[in-house]
Amino acid sequence: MIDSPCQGKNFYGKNSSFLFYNEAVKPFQPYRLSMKKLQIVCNGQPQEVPPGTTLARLLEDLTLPTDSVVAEINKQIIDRDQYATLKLAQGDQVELIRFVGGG
Amino acid sequence: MLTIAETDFTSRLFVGTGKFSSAAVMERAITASESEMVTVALRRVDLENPDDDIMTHLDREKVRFLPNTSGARNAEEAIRLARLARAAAGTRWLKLEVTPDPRTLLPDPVDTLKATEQLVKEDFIVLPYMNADPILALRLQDAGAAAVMPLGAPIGTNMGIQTALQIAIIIEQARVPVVVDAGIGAPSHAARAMEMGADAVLVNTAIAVAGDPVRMATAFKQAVQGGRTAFEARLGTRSSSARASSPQRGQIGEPLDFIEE
Repeated sequence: MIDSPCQGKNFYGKNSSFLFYNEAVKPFQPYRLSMKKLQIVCNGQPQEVPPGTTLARLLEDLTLPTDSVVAEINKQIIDRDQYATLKLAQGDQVELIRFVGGG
Repeated sequence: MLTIAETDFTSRLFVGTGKFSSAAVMERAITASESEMVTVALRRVDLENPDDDIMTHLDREKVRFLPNTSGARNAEEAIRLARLARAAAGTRWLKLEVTPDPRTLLPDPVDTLKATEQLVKEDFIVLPYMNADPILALRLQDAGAAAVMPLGAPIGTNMGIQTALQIAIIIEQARVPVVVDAGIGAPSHAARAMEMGADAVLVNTAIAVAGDPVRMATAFKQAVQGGRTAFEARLGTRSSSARASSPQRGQIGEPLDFIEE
């Protein structure tokens, strides 16, 4: 019954248990908040991503290959083997960098 | 054979990959140059053009990558770019560039030395781009640079070897290879650097912006080979007065006593 708590009013109607929808915890809106998109900055551009988005997923959504793009989050270089597990956080400054022609 | 950081190079021409009209032309020019090491720069991915990837046009079986730190204005930025380059390319090789002034793009000697010291500690193979300063070349060499890269003239100017006197001193003193970089605008400039005893040259603009970059790459290959062979063959000494090439004896119509002299 608690598989989609963020449905709000309907959820309250179906389940009277205040364990999951309680006025006392309402101000915090824990479930609603968790479904809110995260604001990140990617290559200087503000972007929104769903919570739980991994770096690999971000690259996939941007149709970027993981093998030639290097990522820096908050000025920390991320190892390629962490791309699949590293979840983006609110306010992350993401830099996606690759080689270009140069002298 | 040229050896930098225990790596052998048959070709003494390094090529930059910037400013080419297309990736296809760049690819063909690099092949024509027979270069075994090319420079590349690091930039933010253009999110509007995710498929624009230079890596798909360069065969790393054939050419070694020499990432540069272009765009760095101080040691700190150069070190950040160097670490990113190593993560991106999986190579320790680095052309260190610290250019605080975008108008001249001249390298900052103090921050170049500082960054060299730090990056050598971090196990990079550092090839610093530097002004043609013989003392700085020694300082960089002592700091652990794998080669030094003095400029002939400011980047992209095609002005040739304006710093010949200083480069000659650098070549005379250096224990590490000397790669003349920047300003080389014509094959004759490259040949001159090689005749002077430079170990290699790095050419980008002169090839990339030529009318026919692929043929120009061939011309540079030939000039570098010719200049190197000339250096190995040892040039004759210079003189401020004429020295006849033809025999002075036995000239027709001259009095006998002149000939006897």
